[in-house]
Amino acid sequence: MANNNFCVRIQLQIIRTITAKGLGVVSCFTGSLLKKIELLLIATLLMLSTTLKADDFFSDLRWNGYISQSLIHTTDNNFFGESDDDISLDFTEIEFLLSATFLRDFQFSGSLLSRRAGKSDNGQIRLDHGFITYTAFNNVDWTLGVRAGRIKASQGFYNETRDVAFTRPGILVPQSIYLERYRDWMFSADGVELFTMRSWDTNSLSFRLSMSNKDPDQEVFEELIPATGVPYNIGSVKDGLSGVAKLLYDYDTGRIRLGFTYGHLSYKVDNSEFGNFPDTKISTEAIFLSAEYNTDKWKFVGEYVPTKNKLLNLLGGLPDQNSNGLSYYLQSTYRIDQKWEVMLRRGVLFLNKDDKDGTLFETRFGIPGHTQYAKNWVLGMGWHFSDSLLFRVEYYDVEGTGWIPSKDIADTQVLHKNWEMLMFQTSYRF
Amino acid sequence: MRLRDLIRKFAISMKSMSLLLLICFAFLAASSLPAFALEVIAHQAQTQSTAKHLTVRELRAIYSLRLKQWPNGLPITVVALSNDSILHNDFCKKILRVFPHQLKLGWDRVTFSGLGRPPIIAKNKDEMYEIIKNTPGAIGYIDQINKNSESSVIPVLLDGK
Repeated sequence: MANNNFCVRIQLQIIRTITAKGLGVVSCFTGSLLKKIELLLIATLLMLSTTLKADDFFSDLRWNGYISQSLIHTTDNNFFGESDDDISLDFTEIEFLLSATFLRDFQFSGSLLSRRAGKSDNGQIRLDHGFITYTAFNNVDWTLGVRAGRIKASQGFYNETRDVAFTRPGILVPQSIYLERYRDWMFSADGVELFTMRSWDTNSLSFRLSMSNKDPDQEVFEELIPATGVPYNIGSVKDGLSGVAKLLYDYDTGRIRLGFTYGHLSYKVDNSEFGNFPDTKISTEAIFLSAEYNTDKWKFVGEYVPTKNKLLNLLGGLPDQNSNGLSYYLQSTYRIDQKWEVMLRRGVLFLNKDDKDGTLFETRFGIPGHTQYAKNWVLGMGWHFSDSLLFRVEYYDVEGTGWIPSKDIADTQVLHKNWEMLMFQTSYRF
Repeated sequence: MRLRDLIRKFAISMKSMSLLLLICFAFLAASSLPAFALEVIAHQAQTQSTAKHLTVRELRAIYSLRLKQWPNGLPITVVALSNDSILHNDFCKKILRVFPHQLKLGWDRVTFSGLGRPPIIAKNKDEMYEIIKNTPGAIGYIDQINKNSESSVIPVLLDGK
């Protein structure tokens, strides 16, 4: 026990040091976000420090994490840094997670994440998630509870753990659905989630419902506006409301998994600084239909996502936009043995399914039509060297540039419609 | 009459033959069954009982990180061996009836999304035993129980499916 406490103290010391450094970096953030992060972190760490010795109150503390580094080469176009005919090392993910149980039915979970992803993410340490879960009811048949704080949005099979190489189906989450360019919009926000699960013999049905409010972030908002070349003005982003409802059926302890997610994400922009103009609104409604089938050797996964997108009252020359998007992927993975696996994935993305090849878009705005879609084949291999070390290599053959982050695009006119990408990734967990 | 006798004789001999075959099969099956010895064990934790009763369903819920507390409110600490271990593979396939890689992926999903606490992965059977001995609320498995072992570690008896 004494040993345990000693370890816990050392771990906390490490976390304190990391946090202190993290807060130093984070201090270049804008006011409200910084305050929230600081308050939550400080409150949590204070709570943990003061309760460490009271075993009755605080019963368990665990920490773990991972680090991933990628190497990216593209034949044309940049993806996460200067990868075009070059090698980019600008994709790094480091995360420390902490979890603690207290007062029997409460659990704290939090994590600090540093993510470098080309010009899209600069590696600043931030609070990725930090929430308290209260489990009101938990037995072999039923679970019911609520969590609050900075929660993760649980769309589809992978959004919640999209940054973790060990839970991803490849080096990247399937880009046709989990676009890296929309990551920050889709990911975590401050809110509440209700969860319940009914279990039978080897089957279970779970339901989660969340409402959250995203921190106003100008850059995240601007990534959502289609790159049309038409100049526009925006005031200050004020609300980023999102709601997610997810139903997941798990048959025969994970042999078959079926998911249905409805997600609604929106942002509002206050334009009053330019005069008496209405708020700019942007919203997406998405349905994720997910299915997975597992055998001892094979794994088949597919997700199909129709979306409804709206962009209203943008100041400038760009008229209101209403479009329906469609994306899906199918993946099969074959486990050669306990250490080696190969995978093949087909992914398709249409930003506007009524203009699949972007011809109308090109005629209207003079921007290449291939920015409106992407179809890709991915062939990959994974080597689980040990429980904690994973190596992956993947080859992408892509037609279209629809999921390239806009920050990696200097000029849409020089983008290549057909391009290839080779990626290596090493991931270590601790 | 003769024909009937013949048929009866034939039927009797078939019966005894099939019985013999059945016995042979049963013997074969029985001799191949207990090839693995595996005991689920737990920390005695605040009780005076000498054994704990769980259904396989409860054990599966515990190892899926769904069931988080013992009936007395004590948090459950799940202890397991790594995926490389034969004992862990036996435990997954023969007792939980789940693929080890599938179980591990489930753990990762729960752990990295912050929805639950990761299991403790012991380096070997001895370490697993030590962890269970010293952690109230811990559960794990071992290939044989030492009769002279610590009284804080008790066997878990599995009932039902």
